[in-house]
Amino acid sequence: MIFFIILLTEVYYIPYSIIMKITTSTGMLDSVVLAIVALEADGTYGYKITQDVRNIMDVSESTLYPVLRRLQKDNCLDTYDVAIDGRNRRYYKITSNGMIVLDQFRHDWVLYKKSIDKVLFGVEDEK
Amino acid sequence: MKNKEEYLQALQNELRALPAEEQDSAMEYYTDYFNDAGEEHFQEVVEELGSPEKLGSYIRTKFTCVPATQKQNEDKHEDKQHASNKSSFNSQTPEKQASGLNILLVIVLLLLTFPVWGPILLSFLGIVFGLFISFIALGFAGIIGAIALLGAGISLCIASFVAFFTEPLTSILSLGCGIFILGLGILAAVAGIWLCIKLVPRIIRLIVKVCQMPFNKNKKGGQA
Repeated sequence: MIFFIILLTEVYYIPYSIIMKITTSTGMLDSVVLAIVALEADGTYGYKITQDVRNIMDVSESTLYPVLRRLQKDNCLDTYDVAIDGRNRRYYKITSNGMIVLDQFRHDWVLYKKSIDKVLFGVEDEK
Repeated sequence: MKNKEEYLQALQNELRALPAEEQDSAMEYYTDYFNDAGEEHFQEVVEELGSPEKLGSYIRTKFTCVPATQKQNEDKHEDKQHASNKSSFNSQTPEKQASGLNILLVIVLLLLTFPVWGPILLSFLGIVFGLFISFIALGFAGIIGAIALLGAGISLCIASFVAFFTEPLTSILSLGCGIFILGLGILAAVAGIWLCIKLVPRIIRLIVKVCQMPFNKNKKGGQA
């Protein structure tokens, strides 16, 4: 098994860890949600996040709550309540840890994109 | 489903199995969600979310055990931490401290179980090393054999020329043998040089990779 992975990574130059991280459905969705929340300096709320994510990705509304909750538990998102129309609305804001996680994903994404481009289009960059 | 109160009440019932904290969080989220969507979008939202039973069971599958998902910065020692994952389960303590303790525990555990995995690791390394050496030896053997065969072939040819005037038939036979051995020598030389040039660097790279594996982020760590 180990030798097989070495062969794949050796031949196609795709880092194994990055393949795993991005192709697992959570990695991509988590990062998109983080990026969307990060766009709003004053934080944003569940319904708006869902609409924003659904503008760019085809995901079911029900998948967003577990993602937000998990990111909150991982200290990537902070929540606070704002009184509006006589009730409290829960707002989400990215934390510094979330920024770091997002940055790491951006870094991984560039590498991943490069290797997929190479496979799909045969673009040979300086290697 | 007539209105959001009914939907939320049904959802609440579905979430009874979850810890109170999880129930509150989910209920707050979906109450907000319906309020923000507004009455006019209620049907759309319900269609998208599905029945309360379906949504509830989906949330339950996500949060029943409340697993602490792997943090990005833990990936480096992920394979080592599998054993001690439970201790960092749902903890609110700073991550650095927890992972430091985990690493210490893993080291102690590794030291205590050395008699078990030590021989296995050593024999594995021995096999790798033996294979490596034998491949190098094969390459060298090919080259040395090639030199010997070439030498023998050339000397047989020369001898056959010398013997040509005294015993012509024997001389021709030995000339043929000499050329045959020369051919074998060339083949052996090609094989030996190929082994040395192509295979040895590859094997070295493979071994380096295997040794690096535990330090990489890869999940399939090596033996160490």
